[in-house]
Amino acid sequence: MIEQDKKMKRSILILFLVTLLQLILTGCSERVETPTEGEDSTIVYPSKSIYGIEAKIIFCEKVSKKTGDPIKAGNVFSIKENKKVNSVIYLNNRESYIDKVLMFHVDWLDSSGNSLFKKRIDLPINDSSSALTSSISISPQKRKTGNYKVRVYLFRELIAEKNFQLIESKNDTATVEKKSKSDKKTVTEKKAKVEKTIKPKIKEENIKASLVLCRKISKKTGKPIGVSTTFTIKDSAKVKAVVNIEKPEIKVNEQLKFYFDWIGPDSKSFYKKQVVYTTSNPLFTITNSISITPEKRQPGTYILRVTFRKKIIAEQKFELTAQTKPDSLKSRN
Amino acid sequence: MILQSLIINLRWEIQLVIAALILIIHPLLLKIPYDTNDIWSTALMQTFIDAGNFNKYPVLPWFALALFGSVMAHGWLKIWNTDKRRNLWSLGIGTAALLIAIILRMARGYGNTFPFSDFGSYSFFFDQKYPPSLFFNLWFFGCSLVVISIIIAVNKFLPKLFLILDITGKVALFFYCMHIAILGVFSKRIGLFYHEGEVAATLIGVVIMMIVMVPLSKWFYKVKSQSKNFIIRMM
Repeated sequence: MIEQDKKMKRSILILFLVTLLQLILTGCSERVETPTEGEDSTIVYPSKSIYGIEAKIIFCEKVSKKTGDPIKAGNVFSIKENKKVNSVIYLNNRESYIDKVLMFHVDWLDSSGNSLFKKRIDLPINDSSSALTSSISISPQKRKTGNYKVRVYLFRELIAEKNFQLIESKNDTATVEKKSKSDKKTVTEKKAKVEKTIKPKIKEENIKASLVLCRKISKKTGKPIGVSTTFTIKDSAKVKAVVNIEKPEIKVNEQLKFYFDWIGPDSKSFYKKQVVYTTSNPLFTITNSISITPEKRQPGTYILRVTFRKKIIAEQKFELTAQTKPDSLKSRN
Repeated sequence: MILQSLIINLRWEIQLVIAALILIIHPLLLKIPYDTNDIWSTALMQTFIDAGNFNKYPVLPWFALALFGSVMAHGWLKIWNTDKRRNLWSLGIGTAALLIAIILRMARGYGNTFPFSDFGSYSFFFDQKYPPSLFFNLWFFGCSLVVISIIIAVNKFLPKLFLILDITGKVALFFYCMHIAILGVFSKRIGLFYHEGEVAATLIGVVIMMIVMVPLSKWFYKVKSQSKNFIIRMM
């Protein structure tokens, strides 16, 4: 009897724990996990309730002060001085929640997925606003070209996200903008037109690389220190290569393999290094270095070749010279 | 812990009153305006009341929570002399704390930091930890007690299941420091699953962390029990 009682207690306890675990794993999310993509390319995480709030994001250069409507809408913007990208977030089913404070966060993310700016917007009780706005500056000092993203959270749950692209300011782009301004077609048509005109320009160059050789790389800024093409062989000295890469058509978390091939004065490769870089950012930097101690290197002309998918994307010749006595010592002698 | 050592010998009722007073007053103190550009006011506020870049764990609310722990320990070790009593009291006090937390949250006013959509939703449970809101503290305290009572109950049937908690609990400070260091190196520095995954992934992470930490804690407990060094014995 006691044994049976013990068994029953044990079963109840296990059942309770399994239920608790299931509750923990299922969570209490108000959103469907699989997102859907709207016609305007907003990725929406639909509400589990039919009365749940849904959001649609539109990017634009300006927002009408009178109506709050987007002006010059699109998904591609040129980086320019004193310019901004605005996001107008339209909310559906706002009226169902008129008796509650609604807490939104609008999060702007760069190509690497890092948050640039997060804005909290609380809509108070009885506030009938059905649109939110947020903007970031796109001046050249602040932004680089690449794919950016805006995420909208309601009560800290992701409800919608949308991508936009920042490109370099070019005259052609201005023409496209002018055309689209005069065009009285719908917002989506305008967006498609802008994208259509700009995309081929990006496709022309698959990958760009600029190679710089230096003695050191700043730990704080990541910038090269002592940039040169002539280096002195000495104890614990190094030659460091910093390659700034621009790959406009980059996928999300794309894995890229680069090879650094260091070639000696005898035209033979003495060090080959594969660098695997995973990124979503179209602009990124890779580095590699070699030691130039007297035991390892001879004076002469060296070459560094950086290859990507069997194509040389950057090459740089550099000189290694033997160490001479410092001037101070010479004068003492 | 330093503050707690000063009042550890006070009667548990007094400790309880101090803890409750601090927790009740804390949301009012959070309303004190201060200039975050001024180092002195920031240092003062974020040492004791608010959380920010200067300090994430302000003394007052966490001290109050520690006092609650001290009061409970008094019950577990001195007053309730059987597992059944420990279990029932823990479950009872835990449930009461959870109920107060729910009432407080549903009132959507004092003690809440962030608004929420509906009862039982994600946002309902997701109030502020840095600094902890009154709801968070009560909810956290209640949950801890309910989990402890579950552990006491399960331990009766499966005594070996919670040996890992016994091992790690004997070297709590060592466990805390080591797990932060390990996560700092492997997750944050290398970027291994840093800020990734949801509840299930987090639970898997906890299991992996325990697989690493249990043998380390076992080893450190041996070192600790043989050492005469004050700092090592404290860990």
